[in-house]
Amino acid sequence: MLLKIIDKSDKIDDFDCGDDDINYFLKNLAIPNQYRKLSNTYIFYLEENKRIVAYFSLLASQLNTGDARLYGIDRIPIVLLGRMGVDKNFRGNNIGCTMIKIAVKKTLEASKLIACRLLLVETSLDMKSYYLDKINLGFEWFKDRKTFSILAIDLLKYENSLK
Amino acid sequence: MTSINGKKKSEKEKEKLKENLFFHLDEDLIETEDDINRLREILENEEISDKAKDAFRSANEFYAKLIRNDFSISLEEIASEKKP
Repeated sequence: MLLKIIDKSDKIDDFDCGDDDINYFLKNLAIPNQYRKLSNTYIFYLEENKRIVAYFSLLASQLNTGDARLYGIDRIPIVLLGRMGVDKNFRGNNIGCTMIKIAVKKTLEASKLIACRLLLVETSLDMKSYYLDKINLGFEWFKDRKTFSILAIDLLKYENSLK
Repeated sequence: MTSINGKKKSEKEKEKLKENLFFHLDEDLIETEDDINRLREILENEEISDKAKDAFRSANEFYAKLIRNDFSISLEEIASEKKP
């Protein structure tokens, strides 16, 4: 398999992770977003038939704190792990965990050029324990909302742990 | 002529297209004092658990391996990758 950024030549039609929203994003929004510089979508694909095995998307954003109590700024610069999916036929191969490792590393590298402090992921409540307990990649729980949970990785802790 | 169902479907599709959102950040995530305290805790607590340290090292090593292999990796290698 190869990792690369998505482009117009990629075969997106066969991808099916079993989640309509995640499929819809890849098939309708990932490529336009890429060319509009709205998000970067990374794909793992099979070299032999170009089939997409998995993908994730990253984009810059901010966390509005409403006032300047934290560090004198009202917006914390962050990166969102916006969408992530593994094709149904390739599940159970540790690919999800691997993609998060790549996303975290890429975000850390990006933060060296343009400051960002957290990598945030929005996950369904039932996947929360997967991120926090099962794969534990340094995620910290931030808050729960109606049907989803917000988790964060502190990039400063990540950077410091490598020193 | 577009059928009612067709029209509804088309409106639904248009609505979906508008949802080029990754995150519900159109709503502010910081709503309560607890939220700000939790965020402060994440940002200011410098302690890193051993589990997180292992995870970060593992991410770093894996990415270095990917670079060495020109971003090529087999499914078997991924499956055998150590889980944190």
